[in-house]
Amino acid sequence: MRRVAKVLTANHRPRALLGLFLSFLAVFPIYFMVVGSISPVETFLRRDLGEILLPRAFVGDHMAVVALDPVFLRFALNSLIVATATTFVSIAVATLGAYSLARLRFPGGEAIGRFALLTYTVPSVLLLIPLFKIVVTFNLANNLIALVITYTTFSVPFCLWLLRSYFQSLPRDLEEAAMVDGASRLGALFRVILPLSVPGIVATALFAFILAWNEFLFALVFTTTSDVKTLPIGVSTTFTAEQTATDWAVAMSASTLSAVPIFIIVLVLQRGLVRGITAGAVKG
Amino acid sequence: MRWGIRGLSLRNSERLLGIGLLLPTVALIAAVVLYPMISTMWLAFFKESLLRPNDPAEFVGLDNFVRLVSDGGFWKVVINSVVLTAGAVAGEVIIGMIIALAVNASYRGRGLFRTLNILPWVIPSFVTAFVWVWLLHPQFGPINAFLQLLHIIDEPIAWLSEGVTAMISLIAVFTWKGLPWTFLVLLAGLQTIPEDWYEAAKVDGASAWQMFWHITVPALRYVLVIVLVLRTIWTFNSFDMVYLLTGGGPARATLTLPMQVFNAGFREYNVGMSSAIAAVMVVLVVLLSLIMLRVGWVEDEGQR
Repeated sequence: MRRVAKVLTANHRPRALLGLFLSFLAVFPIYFMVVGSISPVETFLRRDLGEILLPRAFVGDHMAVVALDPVFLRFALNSLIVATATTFVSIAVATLGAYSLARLRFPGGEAIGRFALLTYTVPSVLLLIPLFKIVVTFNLANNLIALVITYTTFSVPFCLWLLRSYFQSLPRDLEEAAMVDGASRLGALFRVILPLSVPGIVATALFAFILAWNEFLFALVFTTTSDVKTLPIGVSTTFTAEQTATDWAVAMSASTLSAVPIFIIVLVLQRGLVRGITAGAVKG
Repeated sequence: MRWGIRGLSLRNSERLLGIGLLLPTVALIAAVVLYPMISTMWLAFFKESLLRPNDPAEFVGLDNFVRLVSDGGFWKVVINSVVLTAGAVAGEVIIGMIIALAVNASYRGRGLFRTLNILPWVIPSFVTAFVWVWLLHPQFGPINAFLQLLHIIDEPIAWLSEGVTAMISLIAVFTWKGLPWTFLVLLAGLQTIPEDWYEAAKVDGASAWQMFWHITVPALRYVLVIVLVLRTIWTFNSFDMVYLLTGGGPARATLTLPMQVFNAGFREYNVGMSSAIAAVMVVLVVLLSLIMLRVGWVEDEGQR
């Protein structure tokens, strides 16, 4: 709040007001969703703009209905499993690759790194049918493992580049000292470099988590029964599918709760998030 | 090197280790991106049903492509994709540039402010789609309420039920979602331009408009080209928001290429046709990107 006040009292008042107004536009739909999930249904059905902006009454019923619904919890658990597994596997794979690109130069390494980044521009629908066939062939249809492998591949290229630049920022002397003391390359990586890289690894891991938490298309094609559906497919085929007013607030609550991990990551990462996203960490 | 005589063999073993450590990354990308990509291009020349995976695929040459090109509905889909992409990318870059310019001076901001603005970019797309369906709802949506309050419209509009307004709505939602990224990248670019360039121009009596065209735009050229290319690629390839917001409707009015790839493959089970559409889509998006890169690059040559 103090910052907002400072911006407003600066001599750029009209510009700052424009900035504030546009921030409002950016945040309003999300605010609308959060308020919608804790307001009495009638508030919104009355369509009173003032009341939407400054709600007078709050109720926790809808949130409770969703949070205690075993179907919703199953979706959430699946999402959590997939996103956590994706995060760990991505970091494991990308750490090794990034260390190789940062320190162990070999012909073609740089080209491979760049090529990996190109996968960021490959349309997902282009991979859909062959991947679906592979998944069926390996008996992984309707199995969370198929999602983990796919999401890991999509998140590795970016993790690779983030971690590489992180490793490059650490002085070489550290590893060389360890190696003079008898440690092997890998020993130096695990005992010297990795402990020093924890902040970078955590930030990178959270990007992989966001990607896996949000993914829609492959989850739509790979999962069919509700015991393996993740939140995006689960919630959009049950809670938010009916566009009738009856379960309006419950649907709003399901959406809000689905986004909670993202809200938390945004608050935890703040600056790191903005930096990573500017560099392309989350794709639109 | 410190390891003297053993240096050479050590370097060799380091190379091997380097290759070994990168192997998992390469294997994943080869299996999950490279192979499927090539496979799709290949399948575009075959006739195959997704429901009968054991039947041998029948080679049909360019048949799938011929059928696509002669289908009037397909061109409509291409146009939809281009309109949506052009509208959303233009919206993002223009609005993003205005905000970036507006806040550049006053907004050293790294606080909660900037963090909150990133939300549309990172929240799940199904959440975005759901909220916007309600924001745009003909009866209960606050957007209609707001427009009626201002007497811009007399009757509520069923935004997603008419072809033109559905496309406008999609463009608006895509712009809303993409704006944070575009804005942040443009702002990062703006902040690399030295303040004294503007000071010098001011001394010479340049107007704000002249400064924008002669200092800001040239200095931001590469950033702009990157923003345009990446946003075009990502918007053009985007599936989930169209699927969730309009499903391509009403009456195919917002059907885009990624939707069509999905429909042909997973609703009509026509592997060859789905692959052919995907192939056309990739060619189009590569062409669009190359044109933009080319234009940005040629201008640069002219300036020198």
